Amino acid sequence: MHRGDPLQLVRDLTKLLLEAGVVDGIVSGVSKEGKVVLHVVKSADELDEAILGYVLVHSYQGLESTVRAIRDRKGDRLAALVKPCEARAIIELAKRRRIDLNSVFIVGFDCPGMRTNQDASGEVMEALRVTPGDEVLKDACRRCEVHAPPYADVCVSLISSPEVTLVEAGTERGAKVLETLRGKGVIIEGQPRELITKREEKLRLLNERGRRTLKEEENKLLSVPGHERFSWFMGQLDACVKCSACIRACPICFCKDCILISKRKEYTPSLFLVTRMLHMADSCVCCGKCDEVCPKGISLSYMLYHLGRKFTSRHSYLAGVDFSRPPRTV
Amino acid sequence: MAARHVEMVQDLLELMGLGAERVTMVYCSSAEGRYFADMARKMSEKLMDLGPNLLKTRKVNEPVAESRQAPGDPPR
Repeated sequence: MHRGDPLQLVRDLTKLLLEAGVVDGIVSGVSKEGKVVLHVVKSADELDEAILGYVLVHSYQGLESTVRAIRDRKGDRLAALVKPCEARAIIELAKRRRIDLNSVFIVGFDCPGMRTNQDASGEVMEALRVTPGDEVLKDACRRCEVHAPPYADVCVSLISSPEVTLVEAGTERGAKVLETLRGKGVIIEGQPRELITKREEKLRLLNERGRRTLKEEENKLLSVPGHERFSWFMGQLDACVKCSACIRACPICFCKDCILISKRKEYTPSLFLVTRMLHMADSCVCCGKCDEVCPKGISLSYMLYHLGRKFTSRHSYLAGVDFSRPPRTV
Repeated sequence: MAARHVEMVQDLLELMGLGAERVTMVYCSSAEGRYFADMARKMSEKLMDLGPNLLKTRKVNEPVAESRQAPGDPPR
């Protein structure tokens, strides 16, 4: 466990990863003209200017994302600071062989749900500690069912206590790194039993909230008569301008040559969205990036995640948690 | 594989209000000509009973629904 500023823990951890040669770069951000842009930090000196925690909460300027940065830099050994949805996306991409898990060091954070970008305020690490109120909670986070990273080399949890950060290794590689940090006095051996219990309880409640919201939304949707449901859906789908921002922002969309982006085939706006839904809904992790970037404000994560969960729950499949289950439509 | 895709399409049709029964999957070999014809006829009859699908009957340029709202939700 760690006492003190969790951001300092992140700095010490990432510095160690670079200095010990565990990774060649940390996927992070730097501030340029008041915006945060993607930057892979390759040396420990650069770490001081890097905006390490910020991108977890607020994301980058533009359509960049940590997961896509790793996917597009295959061959580099990189460390990623990710929330559970992004960690699950990395696993789904690993199942499709777009990411090699051996060359990614995942630092996963427990996530209580994020605020909408417009409401983003306050200290970054506070956002990873405090569950946002219902009015400011991001739409996609309402129905998220996985609030802890299912797989990470190191897992960092701020949700059980305002003063103590729980740190846990998920792999041998992670365990070695934590042992070195213990040796340097950055973290203390052992985790208080009551904090572990508190964390598990909080995660259970958060996951349950997501499952409950999903069920309520589905019941509400199916109780509306068919033709009304249809006009609502067509209203949403027809608004699409095929800008493909959702495809570029989506951490799951993995095709190097996306048929929807290429001009090889004509798509009506509704068919554009429906095709994307049928291609990747089973792997949707409900991160909400599509909602954020859509210029027309279409309820993309609502439609995608509901379709995905309707299909995958029948097969007891949950995207990005179990390595042994391949994606359902592959 | 195809079964999974058909399943997803059925789920989508049901969510959208068009009805999952409009799409079905039938296992049939090339030697079973009569069976294929029977199933095709049965499906056509079923579709005639279900009526024209909403994609054909909807009016074009219907007003766009309020975004970020599920059907039946009060406006946020």
